[in-house]
Amino acid sequence: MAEKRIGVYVCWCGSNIARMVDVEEVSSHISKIQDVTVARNYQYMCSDPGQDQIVNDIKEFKLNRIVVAACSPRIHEFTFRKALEHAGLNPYLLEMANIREQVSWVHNDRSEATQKAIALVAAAVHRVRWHEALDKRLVDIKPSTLIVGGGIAGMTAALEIADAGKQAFLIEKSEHLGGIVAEVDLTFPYFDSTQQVIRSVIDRVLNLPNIRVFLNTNLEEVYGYIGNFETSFNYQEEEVKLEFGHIVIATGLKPFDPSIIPQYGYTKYPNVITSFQFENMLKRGRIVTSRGDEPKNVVIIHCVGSRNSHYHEYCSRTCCSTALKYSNQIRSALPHASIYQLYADMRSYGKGCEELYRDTSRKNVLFLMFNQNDGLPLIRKGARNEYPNLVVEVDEKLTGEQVLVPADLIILMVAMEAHDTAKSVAHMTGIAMCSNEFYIEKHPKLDPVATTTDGVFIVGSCQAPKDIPNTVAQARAATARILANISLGKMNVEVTTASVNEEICCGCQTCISLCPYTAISYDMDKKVSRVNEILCKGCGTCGSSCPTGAIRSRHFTDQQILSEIRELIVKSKELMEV
Amino acid sequence: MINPRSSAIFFGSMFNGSADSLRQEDVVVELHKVIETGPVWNEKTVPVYDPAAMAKQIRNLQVKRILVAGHNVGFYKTFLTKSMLMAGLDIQDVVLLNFREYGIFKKSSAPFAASVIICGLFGVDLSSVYPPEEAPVHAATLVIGGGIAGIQAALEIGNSKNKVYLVEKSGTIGGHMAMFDKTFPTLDCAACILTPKMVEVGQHANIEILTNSMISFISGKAGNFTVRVLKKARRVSLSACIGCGTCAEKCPRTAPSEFDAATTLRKAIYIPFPQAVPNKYLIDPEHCTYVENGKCGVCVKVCPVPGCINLDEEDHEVEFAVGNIIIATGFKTFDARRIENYGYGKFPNVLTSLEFERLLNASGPTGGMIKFRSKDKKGNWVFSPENEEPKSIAFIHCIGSRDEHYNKYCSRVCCMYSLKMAHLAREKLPEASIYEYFIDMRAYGKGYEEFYERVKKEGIHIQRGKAARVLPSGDKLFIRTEDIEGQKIVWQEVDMVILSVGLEPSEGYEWLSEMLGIPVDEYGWYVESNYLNNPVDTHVSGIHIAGTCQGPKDIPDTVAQASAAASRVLQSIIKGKINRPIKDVYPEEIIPRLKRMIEKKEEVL
Amino acid sequence: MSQLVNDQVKLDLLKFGVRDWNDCFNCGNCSAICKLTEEGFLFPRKVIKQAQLGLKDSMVANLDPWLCYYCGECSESCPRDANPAEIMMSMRRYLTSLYDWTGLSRKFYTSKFWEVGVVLTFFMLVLAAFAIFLPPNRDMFSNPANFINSQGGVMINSLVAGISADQFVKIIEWSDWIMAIIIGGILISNIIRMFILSILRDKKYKVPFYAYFTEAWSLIYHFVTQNKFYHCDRRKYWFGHFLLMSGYTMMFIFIVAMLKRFQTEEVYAWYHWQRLLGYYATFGILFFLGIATYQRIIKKDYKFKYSHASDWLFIVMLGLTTISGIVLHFFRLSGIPVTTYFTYVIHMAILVPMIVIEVPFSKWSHLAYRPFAIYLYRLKKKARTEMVIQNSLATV
Repeated sequence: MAEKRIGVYVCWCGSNIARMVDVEEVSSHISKIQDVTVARNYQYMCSDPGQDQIVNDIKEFKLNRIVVAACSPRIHEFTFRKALEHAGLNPYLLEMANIREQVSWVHNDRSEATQKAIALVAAAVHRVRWHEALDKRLVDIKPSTLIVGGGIAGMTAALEIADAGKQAFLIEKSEHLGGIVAEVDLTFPYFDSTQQVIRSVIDRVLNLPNIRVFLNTNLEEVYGYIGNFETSFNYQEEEVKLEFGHIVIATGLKPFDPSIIPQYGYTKYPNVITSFQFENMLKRGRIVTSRGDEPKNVVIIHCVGSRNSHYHEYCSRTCCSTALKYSNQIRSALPHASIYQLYADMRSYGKGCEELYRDTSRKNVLFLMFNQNDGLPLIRKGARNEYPNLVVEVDEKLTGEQVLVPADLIILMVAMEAHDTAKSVAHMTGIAMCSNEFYIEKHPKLDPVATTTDGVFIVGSCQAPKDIPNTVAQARAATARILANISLGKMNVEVTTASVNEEICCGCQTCISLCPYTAISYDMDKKVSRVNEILCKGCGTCGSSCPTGAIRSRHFTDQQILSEIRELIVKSKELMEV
Repeated sequence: MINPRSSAIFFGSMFNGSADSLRQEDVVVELHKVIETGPVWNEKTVPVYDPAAMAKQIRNLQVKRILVAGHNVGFYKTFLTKSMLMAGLDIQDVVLLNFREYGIFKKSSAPFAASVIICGLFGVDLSSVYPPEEAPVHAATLVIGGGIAGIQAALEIGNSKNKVYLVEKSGTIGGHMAMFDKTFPTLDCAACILTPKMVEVGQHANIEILTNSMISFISGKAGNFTVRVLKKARRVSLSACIGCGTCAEKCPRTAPSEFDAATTLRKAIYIPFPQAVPNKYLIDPEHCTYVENGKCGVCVKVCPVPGCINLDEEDHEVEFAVGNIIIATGFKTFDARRIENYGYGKFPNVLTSLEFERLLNASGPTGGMIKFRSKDKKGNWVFSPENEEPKSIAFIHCIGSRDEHYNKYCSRVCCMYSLKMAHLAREKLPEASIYEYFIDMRAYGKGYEEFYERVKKEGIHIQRGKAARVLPSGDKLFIRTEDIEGQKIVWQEVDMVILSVGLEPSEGYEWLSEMLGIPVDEYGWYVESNYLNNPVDTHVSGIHIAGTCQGPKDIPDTVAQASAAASRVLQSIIKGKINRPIKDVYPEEIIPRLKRMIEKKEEVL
Repeated sequence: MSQLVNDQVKLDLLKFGVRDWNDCFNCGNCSAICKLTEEGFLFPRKVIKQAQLGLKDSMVANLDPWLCYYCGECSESCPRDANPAEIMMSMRRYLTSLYDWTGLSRKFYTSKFWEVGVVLTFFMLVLAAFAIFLPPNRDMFSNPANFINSQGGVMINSLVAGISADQFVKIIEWSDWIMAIIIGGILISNIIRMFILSILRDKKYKVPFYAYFTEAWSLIYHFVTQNKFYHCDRRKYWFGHFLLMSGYTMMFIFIVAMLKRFQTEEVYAWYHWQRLLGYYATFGILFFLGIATYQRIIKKDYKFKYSHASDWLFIVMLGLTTISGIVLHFFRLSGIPVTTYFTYVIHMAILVPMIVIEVPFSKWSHLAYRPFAIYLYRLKKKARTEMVIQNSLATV
């Protein structure tokens, strides 16, 4: 094998790394290691000049291994691999040392941090020695797409794909399309009729030839990988088998159940209803109390189950503007009713929503503020000298007084929760969930719809609570990526996969039971395990569990990992002595 | 068939941006030219505070359906449905016709409005009477604006191996996001996540970047636009320049740096910032001595690459054809000088949030240290690392936003970026005391509320109550606020005040909207063709909007929108066809068509 | 004790000149920009909110509206254009009506018909009174010379038929005193109500006994200096107001307390202190009236943008009184007995209703309420500090 010529590049990441790590020392220290030809540091390695540096060095010094000490490889490994390619070097001859998340951001002693950085980079250098060139593999992309969830998000995605002339499969677990939006009467801030909008959308979805809709259907299992997924399920007494290139997950949301909040006495008092029950009233065109007469005092309570550590810490994003919308509708139907809003912060942030807030208050709606940290408002029966029906006890923040609000009808603006089905879908498609059971996007800022599983996208409220325009935008964002892939027809897949050395394999099948991607199968006649290299994500579980060491996971070979660890141990010993 | 006379028309309030905006009378006149309708109502002519009386009226006039037309159609729907119920009719027969969706704003489109209503009267959708004609689509796409929205859209399209022209008026792509230090709520540094994308665009085979350029004219129709772009003279050869920076060192003239929000000075020949794409120098003709009076030319002498700098280069136009256009022109920040009470421009240490963002940024004027502003030798106010550190900082929210005198709308990002800055300030000045004065804390996004809670725990004084004014006392600043929840008045002495300025449409939106015929709202944000299910299309087919030019937005929403716009483009390209919805249909011609259509339907039945 | 929210109360307040209640979105800008606010006395925002929620107990107990002198800064900088200053003004009218047990001031504030009507009635009554009891002495038509004194001025007290000069002065003086006592009585009883409503009924505060005496000085001091007003940003307003109120008080003292020395047969020389003071007072009132009228017509500053009927009536009445007074003075100097008599009568006919209506029931009542409000506010403040001390002791 030719001599190793390693180039090491230490990134400042602006002040992110340089603040805590002496990058100069790191680079100078590393440059002393054997085989290291060049070691530099720069403000932003990821930037154009940063990458040019690497490219030029590779050409100039004939480098054949590169180590970049910067942020997490999750962020920039791809960037630098491309840089290597650019310089005609195999992208897998790169190793990244994460000295930001693992060093500068978590330490506060500069010298220690610097030492640790040195250790990590040195280890990376020793690892990269054993890196070997791996070749890209292309897979075909099936032009059809599976969409999970028939809400506005799912339907938009389906239409988007179908309008481009491609096949879309839409599976919805309930018996009708429309999801939560179908429950809504009007929308803020322009009071468009959701019914009118959704009706035309549903019609198109049902009538377009290249959308196949499966109602009352749950996603059972998904096999495959980007470009070549497949699933099968029973639909109307017959086995349906679908093949598709991408998955769009739009499982949406479900309303929070307020009965667990003791102060609000939901279910105890018939006139305490949730926002969704109220939407239903509006849809039927009747705003009435349980006794069937028109309410004189309507109270709307915000943040029910949201922004409260006992229930959900997050803000459900749409309730404030929805509450304003309700006030308008109530005022429109009951011109003389008293309308009270109990709010925490008025989050009418969207386009036209602040104006809606102003116009609403001009329509003689009273706003009272409460602070959840100082106790929730208490709903109870009114005493004799108070009000015949219900009253709400509030510690009113704007006047600093204890007040009683008379109420005939109380609307609880309930939070949005991730849907029950979310968990199982996540498991099937191998995408991650945050503590709130919303799906985790690939990058919170720049890739809000992709997931860590290639070819699987999350759109709408299953990613976090959202209003309709944002949901629609997300649905289309996902289809953009899908349409691009479809139009390309082919795409690269993971090459850092596992391979079985059939000479050594004893056929114990331990790996098969362990593989989370069902990528390993058993070859009966040869009595050995086989890895489907396209399903394999190179997680390495099999390799580490193989009793005979027959399984070798590319880019994570024992040699690579052990030499890395060895170096780390050596360096940490040195640290001990210091 | 539905008898048009059995339907009443209720006019909701109309959008009233200017003198030539549409009025009810205009529509009614057009309508009655061609057809007899049922009663025409609006909030003044019917008892909108008495559903019972309304129901009576409905019964007396034998109204069976009600069309609600106008720009704000929804408000009276609940009232009308109730009245319908009381009159014993079907509530499904209250139909909303939002002119917004049809792009009807001006007097001139009164006939079209009438046609829309006529379709409503007959209970059919306009698009089914006049199905949009399909046109072949040119594969190339124009993206206007090189901010994160433009970049994202360009990449989405470029990655499908289709040509993209990315036109940017400044010297580099990156836009505002490149100026930011960290992004809320995850606090990953903007440069770290943006620069790779910028680089990708820069290297992309299918994306042609035209920096320092302006759209000079666009003509044509969806699927086939002709675009003329004015490439302003860069005076430095993109191919030859190696970005060594010698010229800038020697250049005698300085100007406030746009990238640093004028907190520092750059030379007349400059690179906007070290990670700029393209990473090449350019000359600012406003400040170049040679351009002014033909003297100087130092840069040419010192430049190591012969023929790289050509001070006599002229602006020139390029022309190309595209099938789709994505507008991503972004925003500019509110000019805090307009509010005298906060003394921005009077007191050196009253900063706008953008200036402070630069101050926090490692590549900023002070290398990421928070320092006072001071006069330099030449007497311009600048920040320098040598200055003192402030011991107390105050953030004032809603500067120019949520204010009848300035911008009525909420700028949507200020609360969060203020929290973020407070957090960063705490990180950099652990001893300093930090204050935030807000009206409503709008932490609505994913992980935002959690971030708000976290910042609260970091010992930052977050107080409800707008700061009314900033008063100087010596080199200190005083802020007087009402602590609403604490029920007291607070005189706070601070060293530095940050004004959380709102967002405004970037310059030249009127011109573009005029030329392309895309309506803007009263503030100048582009109007989407359908707020609900079409937030990235405009009323002109083939032209899409992405990011803050449609309204203030944070980065994730902007990115989602950009991709969404790209999706619309890709859709048409993949299909090879683009829809051209019929606009300005005249009532005269629509009625016979309608009749024929309905007759056909009935024959079928 | 928590109060029941009632959004109907604010509808009642609309009658007192409030325009729009609903614009306020509680940003706190107004309370912050106002120099006179302090802990425990937060206005206008909190006052507006209390009124919106219709928390009547708190509203009545609240003295804050009296601490506002209407400089208009809050309205200028209000992000929602809610015009808080005007709402404070209306709150003062409202409070006046609450303090007044006769219920008249409510009538006067809420109905133009009542206000103007009562003024006209009194006008007529006075005319009638003169016609019947104090008719002109016919002699002055035939030979006016008898009524001219040595300085060539009219001997004003001898113009009435049948009675001597001294008797005439006595009659006027007596009626003056009766009027003053009635008005004073009403005002004092209302002030006592104000005290009961705002101090005794307000359970939030426990005023220490000594404070009643230690704070007494503030009554006179603030009445004379308008010290709080002086601390507004807009000092020019204070100046104008000071001229008016000093001038007016002076005149009041002249015509009630010192009528004997004021309404004399002989005409003092122009440099006589009494005449000079008189001129000062007249100038002060005229100056103020000029400004006020002009401002209320051009409506530039927020302070003068919105004028309630009672504001105009006040200006008109005061204007007429002053002018008729000047005319009277002129005729008297120029020695024309007939006109002197009739202007005197008219002067009286305007003056009386002005004092009888304006002072106890309408705009002018604030000249009594304000200083007392400030006194009571100082009591509350003392109570607060006491409370703070108590609490801190308790915690120790």
